[in-house]
Amino acid sequence: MYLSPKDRLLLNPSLRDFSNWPDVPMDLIPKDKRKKFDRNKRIVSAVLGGKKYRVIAKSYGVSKGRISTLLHKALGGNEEASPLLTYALIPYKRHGVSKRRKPLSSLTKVSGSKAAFLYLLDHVEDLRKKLDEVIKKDIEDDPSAPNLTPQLFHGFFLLFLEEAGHPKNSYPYTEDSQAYESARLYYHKRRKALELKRIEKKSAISRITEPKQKPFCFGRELQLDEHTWNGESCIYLDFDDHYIPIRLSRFSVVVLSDVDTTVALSFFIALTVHPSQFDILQTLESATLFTSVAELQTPGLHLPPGPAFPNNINEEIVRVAIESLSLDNALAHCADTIEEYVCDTHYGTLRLGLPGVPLARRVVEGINRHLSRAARTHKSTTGNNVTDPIKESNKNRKRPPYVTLFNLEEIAYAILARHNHHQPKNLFGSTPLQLCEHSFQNHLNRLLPRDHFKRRSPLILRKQVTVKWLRDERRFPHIHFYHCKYQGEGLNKEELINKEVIVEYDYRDIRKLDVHTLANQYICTVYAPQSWQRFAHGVKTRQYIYKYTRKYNMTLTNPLVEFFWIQLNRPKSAKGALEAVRLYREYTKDIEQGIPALQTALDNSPVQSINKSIKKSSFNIPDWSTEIVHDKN
Amino acid sequence: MSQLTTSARAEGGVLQPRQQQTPLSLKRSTNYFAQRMIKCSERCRFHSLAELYYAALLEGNPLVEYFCPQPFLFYVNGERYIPDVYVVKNGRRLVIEIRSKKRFSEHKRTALDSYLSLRNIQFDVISNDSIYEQEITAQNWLTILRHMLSGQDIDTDGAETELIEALQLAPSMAFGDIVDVGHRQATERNELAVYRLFYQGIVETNLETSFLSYDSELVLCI
Repeated sequence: MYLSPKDRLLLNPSLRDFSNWPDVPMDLIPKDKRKKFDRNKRIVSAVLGGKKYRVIAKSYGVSKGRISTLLHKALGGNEEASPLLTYALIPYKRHGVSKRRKPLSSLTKVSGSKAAFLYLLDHVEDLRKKLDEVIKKDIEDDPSAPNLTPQLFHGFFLLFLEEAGHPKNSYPYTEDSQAYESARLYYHKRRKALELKRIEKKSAISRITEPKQKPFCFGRELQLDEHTWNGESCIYLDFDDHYIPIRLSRFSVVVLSDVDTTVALSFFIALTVHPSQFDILQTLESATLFTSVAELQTPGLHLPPGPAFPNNINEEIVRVAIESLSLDNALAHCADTIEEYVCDTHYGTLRLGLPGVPLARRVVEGINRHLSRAARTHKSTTGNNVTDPIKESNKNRKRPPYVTLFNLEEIAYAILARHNHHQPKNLFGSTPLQLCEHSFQNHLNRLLPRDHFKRRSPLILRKQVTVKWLRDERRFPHIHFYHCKYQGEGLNKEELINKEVIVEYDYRDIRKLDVHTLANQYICTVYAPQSWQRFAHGVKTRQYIYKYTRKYNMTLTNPLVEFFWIQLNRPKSAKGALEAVRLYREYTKDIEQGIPALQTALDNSPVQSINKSIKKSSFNIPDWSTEIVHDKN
Repeated sequence: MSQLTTSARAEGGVLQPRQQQTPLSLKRSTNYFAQRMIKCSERCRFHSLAELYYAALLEGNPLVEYFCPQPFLFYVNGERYIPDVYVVKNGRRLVIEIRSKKRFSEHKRTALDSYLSLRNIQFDVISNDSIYEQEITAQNWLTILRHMLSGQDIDTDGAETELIEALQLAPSMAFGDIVDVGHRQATERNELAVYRLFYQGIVETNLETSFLSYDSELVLCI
């Protein structure tokens, strides 16, 4: 029951003495409101002292109604609730939720709209529940929910009132805005409350996804992830004397890092937006190969003194096995080859984390952030509208900054080397590399046998094939492998014809295959046809070329070169350019070592025609002409 | 009707434990782990951290002869169901479901109990929390297991005998006394011998409360 100030004083006579009222700490009252607060206190004190309203109103310059309001705020209220007393005298301060006591305003009897919206929520059946449902659906991203805006929410409010049969001659129809502002404020307030409730509910789920207690040890957990680099810069391909500028689409940098020491172990620039399982295996493999520190040739790039990566420290440290490798759930990471490499070569644990939890791999994500800070970000990343105000200018679009592919790799190398030499606060003044060395010397790292990785490179693969001999066509016995016929003198044996053998090949270079019996005894080496011998190329390139020629019904006499030029000349195609750069890197990567090495091997082989082709070929890719492609149509 | 609600059968009607394949969609939506084990010949796949830890604890239990994760495909009340582990322990056969706080359906449990008990197999449900309580032990066993797997081609018979003799003379030894910290290659066999003796239950150390290190004290069990 509502008590008036008079009833309250009758019920609690001690309140007649203002000294019994509580004190309000002055800190709670803003400075500019303290004057009015003191005035209110003096007014109430005078009323309690028995002075007349008329006299008080005159002496303080307020209306009698104002005095009455102050007393109602301070002493009035529900019988069960304690009165606000001095706290009610703070000017412009609302205490609790207003409650409407009068009936709603109507066309015949206007009574204001104070607390009318809340009145409707309390009295119209299911209105509050239905409005909450609308907000909840939007928060939960329900596919059937509309994109909720305050305007739409107000529309729902009116619709639910109509459904409940609310009279058309009363509030909110009596207002010009039809309670739009109240609905807007309620929408924002309620949305916040429901969102917080949802977060609270989510955080209450205590799901354990990673070890709570961990020993500190280098190699205990490695994390691998890809980071997309915006390659809108120009890449220059180096063809001995002349350079070809290419503008690329995005590509990825695959980074492998150790969790405890935060050291970056290796990286690989995969010239594609979606790296494959083999890009990841290459990154993993390079961490296990002992190398010396690279000598940077890019002007302006310097490395800190000492080793740049752990595999530069010594030959022993690369023997440290992977105890656990954490990856996200990207499709390439689910490949069996990766699982096999981690579980059967390192005898470690492979972990594909829960989706949408990047913080589970915070170390490698941190390194990726470090890499992205160093990369140049371009304008016009928000869209391709011609009126986009931050669109890249024509001047810059025609002449973008350029870097050679070699320089780009060196830049990534230098950034990660610097990361390995910096001193973050959480490593107690040590650099990641120092910590890595310390851990190697003082902890029980698991070491793999010395020649373990040489025997088990993840990119040396095996496949079971059949030796075929098309006698009627007067051909030599051959092995059909990725669309090509491989031949070699060792195959010309009767006991091998139509028999199954195992071929061992390097995924990155399939110009030659080592043939073994099913009992793993070496038989011979076989070579791809002459047209495929010119440059080192992997399975992916061969498959792309065949897919492309089949799609466009083409015949390529020199497939590797012609496909390269086709990619390079795809009109305004950044992806084509990216593929051309990938091919360029694949073709030229072993000009120093691979091709002469193969040449030596071929000198002793009977396949003289292949040998001749190698000798004839220069390492430059020739100029492209339209005659190079023979379209059947 | 009541008979229908408690029906269970294994796929093909044969109870031969064989690790069920993890579909790609499940691989990408769970906390997926893969690890090679000793008591299970295949590469083992687990769908939570608790499952991995439980397998490590089974490896460390000398009474366990064999286990297989995701062993059978059952149809319980018409629904597909793959239990988490099949264990052969001390001659007894068990099928185990590892669960979080969420309760295992009583209907499903009754159906599986009645189906498996006819085949002399016990069905049990274990909570994740009981496994996480032994987290350090599980991690230590994983370490021991990985060391043993990576050194599986190395013969340590001589080193094991020497170590047992040394431990018979001294009441206890620190791990660091057996391994040359600065030159691990020289004492590789000794190090591996310690892990093998742990596994066989001949030598023990505190695996419950502290992680294996050079300071771990080794004691002979027999």
